[in-house]
Amino acid sequence: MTIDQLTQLDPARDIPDSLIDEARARDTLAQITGSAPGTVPLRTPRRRMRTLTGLAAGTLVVGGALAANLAGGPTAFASWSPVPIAASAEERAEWGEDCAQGFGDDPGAPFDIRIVERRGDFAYTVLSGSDNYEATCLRWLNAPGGEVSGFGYHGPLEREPAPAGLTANGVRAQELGEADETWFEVTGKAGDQIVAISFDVNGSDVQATLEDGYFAVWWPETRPNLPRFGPPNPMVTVTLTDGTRITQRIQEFDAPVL
Amino acid sequence: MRDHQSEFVELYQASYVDVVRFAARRIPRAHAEDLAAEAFTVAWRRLADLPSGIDEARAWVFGIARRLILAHLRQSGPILVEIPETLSTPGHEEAVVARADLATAWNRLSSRHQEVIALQVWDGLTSTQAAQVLDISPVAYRIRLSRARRSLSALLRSHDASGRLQITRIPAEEAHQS
Repeated sequence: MTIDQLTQLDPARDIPDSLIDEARARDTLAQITGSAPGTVPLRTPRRRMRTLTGLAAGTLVVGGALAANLAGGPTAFASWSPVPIAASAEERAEWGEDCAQGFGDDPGAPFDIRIVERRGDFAYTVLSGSDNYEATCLRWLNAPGGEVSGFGYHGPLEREPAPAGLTANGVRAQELGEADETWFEVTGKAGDQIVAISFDVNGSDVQATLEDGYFAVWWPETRPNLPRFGPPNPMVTVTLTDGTRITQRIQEFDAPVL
Repeated sequence: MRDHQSEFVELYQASYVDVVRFAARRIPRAHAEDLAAEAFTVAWRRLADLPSGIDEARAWVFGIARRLILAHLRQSGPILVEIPETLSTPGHEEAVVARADLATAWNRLSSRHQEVIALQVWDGLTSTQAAQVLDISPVAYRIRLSRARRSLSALLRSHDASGRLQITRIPAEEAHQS
């Protein structure tokens, strides 16, 4: 299929440019402009879209390229799991490609697929582009009424991580539309001595996915009062290649960025 | 306001035929000019909202026209954009067959996928403008467009040995994309 072939099938291709010169078009214009124009903006209230709203902690988050139609409720995240499952090769290709296609024109493009993981009914994808730009997608696979996705665009990371350190694009809160629920996500790069990462979320361990120097974690949480208290700063435990475990807050791992 | 009125006349002159075509792709041809007149009448009443720039203003009128169509059809969308089976496709036999296959595949696309491709290919809108017409974000539009193209390609690939298209069910996952 080519665009040219499709152009030739345009159902309206027989309508000539000269239509504007015909009496009907002229009469319509005269009739319209013969009345008083509207003088007051009549912007209709925009239908409230169930969008994901990025409430980023870091000043480096440059993009709020967010779109979603999540029809979630209090139980939307019921299937979520603190332990991620790696996507199959097929899932990785499909979900990763879908995610990347949403950012084809943004700085950093083209984006490479770095992480594709599942937590319950949710697939989460992390992409990286040039200049350390990042893009993420959350895909709700079994949402009521059909599958839906949300997209985020972040970065760039300012620096590479220390061998036992992390660099992250902030602790980002994403709002689940009209539902009174939020999820938090942390993505970035891990030093080459790190083999495992877990986050302490309200006393529970949430394992991050770590793959080829990139890491990602996300967890649902009832929306806190972010403007007043700021983003969360969870404790993070990293395990190094020699078995050493280091536990400190994410901002301490990544002080220059967060 | 006088500047806006001049801009409106300029927009009308430049975009009237485009709006008629936009309508004709989605409703019977006989009603297309009525719909265009209705859309420009609404635009005139909303003159204070007229975007600057002819392309943006044209997309804005497309959005008005689309909402009018939805209102007439008593639906919330998306709008079917079918290729008439009787559409003549002159040319060499091979090209004619290819276009016929493409038309068949097109008409098997979901209306959601038809609409996102039509906005780009036939209505000539950028992703940002098309997103405005559909009242979605440019990112969401690009995702939909990508999936729609993939679905169309899959339908085109589903020829059997005799060269006839087989019925290919669009996976529910595709049909549900929002």
